[in-house]
Amino acid sequence: MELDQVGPFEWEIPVGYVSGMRVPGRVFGSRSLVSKALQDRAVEQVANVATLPGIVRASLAMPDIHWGYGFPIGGVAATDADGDGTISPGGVGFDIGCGVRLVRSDLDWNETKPRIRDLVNMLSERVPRGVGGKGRMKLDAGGVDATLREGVLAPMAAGVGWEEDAEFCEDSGRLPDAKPDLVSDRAKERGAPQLGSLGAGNHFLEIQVVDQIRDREAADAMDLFDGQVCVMIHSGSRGIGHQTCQDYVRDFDRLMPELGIEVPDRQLACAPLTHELAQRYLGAMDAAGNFARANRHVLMDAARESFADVFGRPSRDMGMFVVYDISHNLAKLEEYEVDGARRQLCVHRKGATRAFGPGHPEIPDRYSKIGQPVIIPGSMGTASFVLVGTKEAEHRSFSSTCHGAGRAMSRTQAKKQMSGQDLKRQLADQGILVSAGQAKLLSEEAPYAYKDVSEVVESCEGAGLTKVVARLRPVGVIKG
Amino acid sequence: MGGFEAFEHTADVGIRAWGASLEECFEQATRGLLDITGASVPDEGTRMDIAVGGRDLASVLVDWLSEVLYVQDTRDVVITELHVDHVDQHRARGWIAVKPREGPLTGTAVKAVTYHGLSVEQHDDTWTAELVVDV
Repeated sequence: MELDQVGPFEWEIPVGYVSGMRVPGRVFGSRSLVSKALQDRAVEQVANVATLPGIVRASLAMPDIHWGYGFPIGGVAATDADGDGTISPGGVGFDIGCGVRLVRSDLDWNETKPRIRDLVNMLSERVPRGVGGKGRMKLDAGGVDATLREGVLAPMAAGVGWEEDAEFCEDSGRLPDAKPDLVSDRAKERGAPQLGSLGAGNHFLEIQVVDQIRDREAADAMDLFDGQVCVMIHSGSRGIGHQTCQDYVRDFDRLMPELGIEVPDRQLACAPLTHELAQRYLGAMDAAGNFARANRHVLMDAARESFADVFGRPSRDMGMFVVYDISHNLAKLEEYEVDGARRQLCVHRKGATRAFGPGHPEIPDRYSKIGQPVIIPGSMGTASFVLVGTKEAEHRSFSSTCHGAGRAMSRTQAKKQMSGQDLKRQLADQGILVSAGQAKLLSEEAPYAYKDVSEVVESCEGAGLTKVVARLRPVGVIKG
Repeated sequence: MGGFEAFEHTADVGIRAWGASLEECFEQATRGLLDITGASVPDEGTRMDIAVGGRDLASVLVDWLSEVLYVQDTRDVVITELHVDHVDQHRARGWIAVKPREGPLTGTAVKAVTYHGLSVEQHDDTWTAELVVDV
């Protein structure tokens, strides 16, 4: 079945593409990106999501969409919280609250280049990563609960980071409806030793250089300049999130026969938001989301410390402030206009980022004129981007945009193309120093395994969702 | 007769496992999981009993594998041996033998076991399971 093109970067999946669709699907992207989505059957998953009870307007897909487990990665689904809307933990994913933080500095590449190897070495030592990596910050049971409840405010209370950091995180660093009691003991056990650890897979900590500024006004508001050295951190809630999602998908799956809801994929298990289980999940999800933000906060501290050690100056004197911290795996209760009335919707963003426009009350005053910063991590060895949200995104995509490049091939295929060692050498030739926990798995994350991130962000801009502010290229990469 | 293999998935990994009995199938699925994480080290170990329950066979498999993953992740161990004693529509019972890990795991970190594309089916004399894990 063909998709109807309904805008220059917008395609519709008609109701009936799969049976049980309550609304159409909408895929944002260039023609070439959308045909890739069709090829890997991600479009089918977008259509499956459209069967969720209470889904509003359309099941959305961002240009970086790819086949996931249930929900596609790059999917957005808003359900009617004021009505019969459901919530689906699969629509958030296992890495609850996974996201990206961008930290600026006053340093430029010329002065940093001679020390890049030292920086990468220092970060390799300081940043725990890989399978079973123990976090930088030890937590006892009380500490785990505090982190789940307070987000970045927890490590801050312990003296990690600076007071002004919190303002430049979504929700000021703390999801207020978090309920640590609703996170299982098992999840806490998994998460307790992991605060301030990078994880593995596509997570990274990168030293990057701003190499293109597209929107001067927005870049000025964010204190970004050409040739500037920044640090970008991509990580999530570690074992606490994975276990929490596992626990709740199981509970939702058990409940499904009782609820009489049928979904095309078991991983889409859902329940009405009014149901007690849904409410419990929201509290647990927010708690895990808080852990993810705290995790990135503690990792940032490792970066600040490393820079301070290498340059022999306090990181504050080098202006290493937070530009912004975003989540790209989370469900949020937000208000939107639907059929002429304001309604509260539960917006699932799985591999998609919130993108509020200028003037939105929930973004820092400093960015009120330009819109919410959106941090888009590229794949290893390719560019990352900083965008801003638009007013238009509100009615086009429930204020959502892409999250990254999106995978283009499986891990097995990626490994076949090139060895980890060869890839590392190739990247070094390009001026990118990589420190990988496991060289042999590096090619799973190779640039060729991903879509073209610049095409993805251009599509989002073309569709009116976000605007490109700056491009950053990696010069040092720390991976699990 | 039994065995396992990984199959293609864009971002994650699929496991296909088979055996002459449900128990063997579950064992092979477990070996498949441990093959991905690199946590299987044939050796002497300390036995840990595992017992799980689920609403159907497929969710029993997810619960069983989740349990193994949980032990692997929280106890800093490698799994030296395993045996599945009994599986039915609502339960699985068996044991794994574990030993303290000597270094980091050499495989791919598995975040969780998903319900996506999940099946446990019998054709002729063979039980086959398919599942996807999030890496």
